This record gives sequence, structure tokens and C-alpha cells, in this order.
Amino acid sequence: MKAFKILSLIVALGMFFYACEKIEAPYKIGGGESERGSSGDTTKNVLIEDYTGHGCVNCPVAADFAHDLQGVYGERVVIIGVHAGYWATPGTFGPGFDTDFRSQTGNTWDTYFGVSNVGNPNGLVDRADDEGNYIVTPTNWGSQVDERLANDFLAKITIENDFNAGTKNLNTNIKTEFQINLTDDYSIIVCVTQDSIIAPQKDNRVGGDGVIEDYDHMHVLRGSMNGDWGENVTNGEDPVSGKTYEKNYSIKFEDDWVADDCWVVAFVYNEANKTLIQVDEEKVTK
Amino acid sequence: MKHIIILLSTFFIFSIANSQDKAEYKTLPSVNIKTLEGETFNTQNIYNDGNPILVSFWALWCKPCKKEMEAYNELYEEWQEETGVKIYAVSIDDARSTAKVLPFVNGKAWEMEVLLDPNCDFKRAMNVNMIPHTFLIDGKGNIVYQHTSYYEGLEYEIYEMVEKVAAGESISKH
Amino acid sequence: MNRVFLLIVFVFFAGISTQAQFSELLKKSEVHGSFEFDGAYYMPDNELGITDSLINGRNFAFNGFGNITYTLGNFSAGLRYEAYLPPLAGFDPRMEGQGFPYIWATYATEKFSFTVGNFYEQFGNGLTLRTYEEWTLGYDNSLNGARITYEPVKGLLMKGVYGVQRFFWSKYTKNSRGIVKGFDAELDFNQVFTGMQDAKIKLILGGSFVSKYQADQDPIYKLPRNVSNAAGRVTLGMGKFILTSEYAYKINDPSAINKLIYKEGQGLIVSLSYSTKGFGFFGMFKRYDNMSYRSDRGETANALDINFLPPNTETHTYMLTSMYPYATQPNGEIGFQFQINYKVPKKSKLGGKYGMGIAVNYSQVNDIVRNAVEVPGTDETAIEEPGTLGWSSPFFEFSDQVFWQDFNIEIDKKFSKKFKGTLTYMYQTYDIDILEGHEEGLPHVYSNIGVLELTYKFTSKKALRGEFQGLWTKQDKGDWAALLLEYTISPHWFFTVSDQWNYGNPVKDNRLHYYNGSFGYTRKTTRISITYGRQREGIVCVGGVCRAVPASSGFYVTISSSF
Repeated sequence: MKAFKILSLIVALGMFFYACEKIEAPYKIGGGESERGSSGDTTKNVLIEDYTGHGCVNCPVAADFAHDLQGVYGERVVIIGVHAGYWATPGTFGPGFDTDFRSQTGNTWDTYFGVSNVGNPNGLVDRADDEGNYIVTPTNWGSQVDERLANDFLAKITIENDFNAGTKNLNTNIKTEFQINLTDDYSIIVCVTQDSIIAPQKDNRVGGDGVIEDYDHMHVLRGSMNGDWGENVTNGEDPVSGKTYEKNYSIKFEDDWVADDCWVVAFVYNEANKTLIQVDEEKVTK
Repeated sequence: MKHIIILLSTFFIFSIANSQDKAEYKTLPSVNIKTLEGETFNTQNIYNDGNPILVSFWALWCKPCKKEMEAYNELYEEWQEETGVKIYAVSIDDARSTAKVLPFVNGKAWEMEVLLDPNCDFKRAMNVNMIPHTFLIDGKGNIVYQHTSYYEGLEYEIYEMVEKVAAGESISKH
Repeated sequence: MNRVFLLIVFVFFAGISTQAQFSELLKKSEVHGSFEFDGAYYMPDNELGITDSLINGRNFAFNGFGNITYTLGNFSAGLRYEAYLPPLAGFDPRMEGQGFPYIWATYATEKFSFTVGNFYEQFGNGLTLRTYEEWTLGYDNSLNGARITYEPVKGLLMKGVYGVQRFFWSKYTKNSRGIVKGFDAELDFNQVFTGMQDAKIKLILGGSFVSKYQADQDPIYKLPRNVSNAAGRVTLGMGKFILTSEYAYKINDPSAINKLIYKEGQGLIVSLSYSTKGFGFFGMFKRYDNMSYRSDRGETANALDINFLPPNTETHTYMLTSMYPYATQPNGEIGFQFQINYKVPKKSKLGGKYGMGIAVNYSQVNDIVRNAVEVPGTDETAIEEPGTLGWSSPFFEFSDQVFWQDFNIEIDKKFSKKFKGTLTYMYQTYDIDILEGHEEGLPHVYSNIGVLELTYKFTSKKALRGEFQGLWTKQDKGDWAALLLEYTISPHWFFTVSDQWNYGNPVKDNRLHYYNGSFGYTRKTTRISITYGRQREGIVCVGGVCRAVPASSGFYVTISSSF
């Protein structure tokens, strides 16, 4: 009899422990289209670097995650698609996969943060690290973006582009205005991304050979205007609150860079830990 | 914080180690493991009525372990007659193959007692790093000898120890 | 918190150990411990593509631990120190560091036990919960918290656990990972009910509930914060037959592993064995569908698993039979296994003077069938789309995609007192794309493997053992041959030389030799071994959990001891 008493106790205890949450559809409560661009924001923005490749079957899902986050937070989220590593190699994943989306800057970053070494898709969110680990799985980008958005607004970036269609030369003027006095060293990277490149992409969600022939590649990193790691914003002095630091850069567009689809992305980061304090983007042509 | 712990634990180990020479031997810990039939078995119930006991850790995936068990099995009858020794073969196979141990043991016609330690609780409590690892326990329940790894012929070395224990001789100098 | 607790305990015992009146008490106290050091000195090797710049100054690497356990009557406590400075090649780089990841104290009486700190626990087969530590994988998912076990009557054992899991060296902070709680009970009818004590039928029932909590910080998806996983199990013994089964059901658990699908998870294992002296039969069936269960839904590497999904394949250990090992596919797999062990009796025609052992094993694992499901809010259907139910799957159907197939037969025979041998043949199908995570559309690897192992004893303590191995396949790296010679002097010494030769590699420059020489010394519980040579690139798996090992070249030292 004692055993039965104890058994019922077990069942009661079990019920207590058996906390559960059955979620009903729709499961997706955010996402969709949204505005992009710089408005001289007065909020802390977040950069998602989506390390990807056209041969990587799980990468489109990750791109969707990033896109959805931009849908939720609008221009507070900036995306760069970094094509690097094995899955981005041209000419290995079948007919049509001959576009080379890689860039020297992207390769340097990929090697430094070791992303494709761990595997694609993976990404960096504001290049913030957790005890030395910078890489964030796509399914965690959401919570990571959420966390980073809560950080203080430390610097305002204003981007002004002047593109000459004849010479294909882009001149960019960047103003960084710090909001408080800081003591660390900060660098700025200014790079060019391109939207709407139509080319094949592997995707395991579609049937057959798992290829989307006319995939719309967005936010593709084309190159940096001021080197792989940029340049010190303040030329060595401690950033002063209210002071504006100005930089001018230029780059000549390659033939396949469609200026109307291109953006300039600029971000300021702490040189000590590579973590961003601010990011912004602006269209190359008005 | 870490340094304090290291310091204190070092002190603690030394102070215990000092008092350790007063204590004669080490005994078996109390850990719940399983019999081949799935019943819970407490390791304090490893018992042989005052005769020596061998406790040997093995696994289906460990070839030298199986060789050691085979060697024991061949000699077991003889050994039992001479010294009354009892052998407990503790398999540390995980859930992947715990259910395979019984048909394997029967298929090999092994005569010793076989126990299952699927989550290595007993192995950990006995501080076994690698298997095979064999313990010799005297009639009073003290662990008097242990050996890790198996090479052909080790069974004779082990049996020499068993004979000494059965005869009540000390093997601590060995 | 438990560090402070341990500190108090240590101070207490350090204090009383100096008091003479406690010496009597301390006579009953015991200290046990063990340590291991696995070190490597890596050297450049042009043929393997290992250059100085790849080693990058980190020529020396080691994994090491030291373990201390203290027991005094009903009380016991222990700690483990670990250091990976830096970790050996192929281990998770997040392991780099040193410290005390495992500290615990337990008070136990005959019916009751209470543990605080880190602990390892397994409910049933582990489908709902298993925390364990596997040194060779660098895997440790111990729970840090509290555990109570209670056995009110003999044959009824209950366990409750509560805590957070170890994640390399990362401390638990708010929302950094989930909180795990669990409860398990097992009832042995033959022990509890006096009327059944001598019954021919043996019955054991068990059940477990596990629940994890993790905050929902996702702005796009509505994520469940509490996810539970429950299982029931039975062991039924009828004379020479034993039937065991466990079924687990997990509610919606969108994660990085299942790509944020909201499907429920199911796991089923059934095994049946029949055995008499000299004959054993074993058969099993298992099916997993969306059963990954971790305390961080974003973790994809080998860490923070709450449950364990045992594979249904044989573990192989020879150099070449273990070249293509099985890795459990938590998102879905269905399979079965059969095994027969037979001992041809002594003095029969085939058995000879000593008898002969025969073991036949067959296992197969396929993908489960996955059908498209509705995408909420649209007219479309999709498979594995985030924010949907993922897929629907008929329970007992096998998909056409074979992940794994293994037929093997092993015959061992003793010819004389001095000479014995084992012959193994294996035919294997291996889905390299899925099992190694390539997804490159690589063809399955079909291989035939043969191993002949012979042992000759010169004297009762000196023996020479040889392994002659071959692996033949048209896929992957092609054909291999391997040879191993080992000379042992019991109980102290061993000397081994071996070579694995990839003579059939389709790329001529890759037809490499992976040679090794090693020797070792063992005394009681201390073992030292030194190896020089090349490690083949490969995969190490324990219990279906796998780790990739890169090729390397150099010296390797292992020192292990316990007291």
C-alpha cells in the first residue's frame, strides 16, 4: 500500500515539474519589409554580418533571419553578406555557380574571426564576443540583436555619397560625432555592399536538385574603401563628446557593381576587442 | 577565489593524507548500478563471504578488456576451487549497448558475475581513468591491489595476488 | 554558490583533521584520486599539409585532469581540476583554459541521498536526460545544482534534479542558457511486491519528466520558454527472454538544430534478447524524430545536450573498421539491429580443444520519411521551413535514403595454448554527406573490410600480436591497408609499431603512410605511453557523438594514474 501512496506522490510531483508551453500558430510574429538607410540616427544600431556562400544549402534560411530582423527593427539593423570560404568558391557547385561573390576584405574577416572554419551559415552580431567567441548561430541572431540594441548610443555616423556615373568613381564623406568622452581607440571601416544580384543559390528547402536559379543575393560585400580594418577615427586622440571627426574616401567601381543597387556601410569599432559601437548605411545614388 | 580553493584543497589533501597512514586500506564506495536483468544493485553488496573478490571494468567496445575477461573465464573454475575467488565484471557500456551485454556474456558462456554501469557512476567513484582496470578486494572488503590495462599473461600476475590474499598474506609491499 | 559551500566543507575538514580526538573518526575517511595527462608535440609534415604557419607556434598542446574524492561515512565530496593549455588538435577551441569545472558534495544514507554541485545522472536510456563526461571526446554536460534520490522501499527509486549545465568555462549568468529540472522514478515489481519475489516474470517500470526553461529573446519567433520531455520505459524478463523499451515525447522545441520548427519530438527504442549458455540473440528497433534537446536552443556543437540518443549500430575499434563511424541524426532516423553470439562447444569438430566464438551483426539506419506541411498564414507547404511544424512523418516508414548499413562477422578461435586468432569481415554503407555534415552531394561510401588478428605467446608473460587489415572502396579516399605489431611483456611493457597505407587513393600524391611507433610502461594503476608518428584525419565517436580529428604529426605522451 505504501508503494501506491508513494506512486501517487510521484505523479503529483511529476505534474509540478512538467511545465510546458505549447505554442500555437502563427509562430512567426515579426519580419517582413521595412525602410533602410541613414537618417543621422540618434539610436544605437546593430550590424549583422551574414557569412554565407552560394553552395551552402542552409544559408538562405539564415539570410531570411537577417532580413526578418531588419523587418522588425528597420534601419536600426544593417546587414552585410560576406561570401567567403569553401561554400563561396565559384565553379564547384554545378552549372551557373560561376559568380565570384568573394572579396579580399571578406576573406580577411572570415579568416580572422574563423567563421567558415566553424561552418556556414554563421555570423557576427556587432562583432561582440562571448569570452572570445565571436560567432553567433543564425537562430540566435534575433536575441543577440535584441541585446546589442539595448546598448548606449555612443556615436553618430553621417554618410554622404557622391557617385560619378561617367568615371564610376565614388567619393564618400563620413562624419563621426561622439556622444560622450571615451578613452579607448576607435577605428572606422567604410565598405560597399550590393543588393539584387540574381544568380543561382543552393537551398535545401526546395525540391529536386536543391537549386534556386534566380536567387536574389542581397547585401553582398564588394570591398572596403579604407582597408580591411579601416582607420583610426580620431587620428589617435581620445574621442571628445560633441566633436565631429571627418573622413573622405573614394573607390572606383568594378564593371559588375551596379551603382543604383549599392550601399555604403560605415561602422565604428573598439580596436581592443573589435566590437562595434555604431553602424550606419546609405545608398550610393539618390 | 580560485587561489583560495586551490590553497585550501591542497592543505586539506595533505592533512588528510597525513592521517591516511593510520587508515589501513580503501573500501568499495556505495553506488547504485544495474544487474544484467535491469535491477538496481548497490555496489556495497559486492560480497564473497570472506573470500577474495576481483572487480574488473570492461566494455563491449574494448578488445583488451574482452581478452582479459576471456582469460579469467578460462581459469575461473580452477581459481574458484583453489581460492574461492569471485569475479565481478562491470560493463561500462552506455545505453547504446547495455541490452547487448547479456546476450554477449551468455554467448561467450562467461561464468562470472556481470554488472552494468551505463553512466560510469561506479567507474568514477573508483577513479578509473581507462579500462580494463581490475581491483582485488580482500576478505574484509579492503581494496588491496589494482591494475590498469591488460597484456597477455596478466591473469597469472593477478592470480598470484589472489592466492596471497586468500592465504592472508600482505601484498602491500608489492 | 556551491564553491562557497565547498569552501566551508574544506575549512571544516582541514580544521578537524588537526584535532587529535578526531583521529579515530578520520581512520574511516578515505581519499581517492586519479589524474591523466595527454600531451602532444606537433611537428610540420609537408605530405600531410601541416606547415609551421598552420601550427602557428602552438607546437605543444595538452589535455589534463586531476580528480580527488573524499569519503567519510555517509559524507563524500570531490573535485576535478582540468587544464587544456591549449587543447589537443581536434578538440573544441572553447575548451582552452583551466580550472575546477567539477565540484560536488554528497550526503547519502541507505534510503536517501543529497548532492550539491556538479553531478552526472541518467534517466532510463537517456532519452530525456543524461549528463556524462567523455574524456576522449572532450565532452562534459554535467548539471550544476542539486540532486535528491530517495528509495522508500527496496525496488522503488526516485530521483529529482535541478540545475544548469556546464558549458566549457563559461559561467552561468542570467539568460546565458537554460535551467534544467527533472524527475525520474523506477519501480521493480519483483522487489517491491512480496508475492512476486520468486515469479518467473520480471517486471520493471520507469518514467521520467524533464523540463527546461530558457528566456525568449527572439523578436521574430514566439519561442516556448518551458519545454518538457517525458518518457516511459519497461523491462520485462521472461526466462531467457528480456524485452526492454522506452518511448519519449517532447513538446515543441524550436532550435538551431531543427532550424526553428515547432514539431513535437518522439523517440522509441525497443530491444529483445534471448540467451542461453553459449548462445545469445539480440534485436532492436529505434526511431528518433526531432529529438535534439538542449539547454541552449542556439547551440549546434557538441555541448549542452540534456538528453542522449543511443545509436543502434555496433562500435568498431580496429584502425580501419572505425574509419567510418556512425553519428546519431537527432532530427530523424529510423533503424534496427540484429546480433547473434554463438560459442561452438569445446571438443566439437569445429570448436576444437578450446571452442570457437562466432558473432554476426547487422545494423541499418535510414532517414525518416518527411512530408511537407502548411506554412502558417499562406497557402504554401514546405519541409523544414522555420516557423512551421517542419514535416509530417509516418511513424514506421523508412525513407529510401540509407544513412548506414553494416554487416559484420567475427570469428575467434584458440588453436593452442600459445596461439589464437580473430577474423573479422565487414561490409559497410556510409552516407558521408549526412554523417560528416558535408551536404555536397557526395556519393555513399561502400566498403569491404577484413581484419585478421593473431596472437602468439612465447612464454606465459611475453606475447606478440599482429593485426592485418584491409579496406576496399571505390569512393572517398579509396583502398587502405594496415598492419600492426605489438609485443607485450606482462605486466609492465608494451611496444607497438603500425602503419596505415592509403595505397588506393585516387590522387597519387595522397597515397600516404600513416606510421606510428609507441611503447608504454604500466605499474599497478600508473600507465605511461609515448607515441611517435602520424595521426590520420578522421572521426572519433563515442555513443554516436562524434568529433573530427585533423591529421597531425609528432610526439604524443599519455600519463595516467589513480590512487
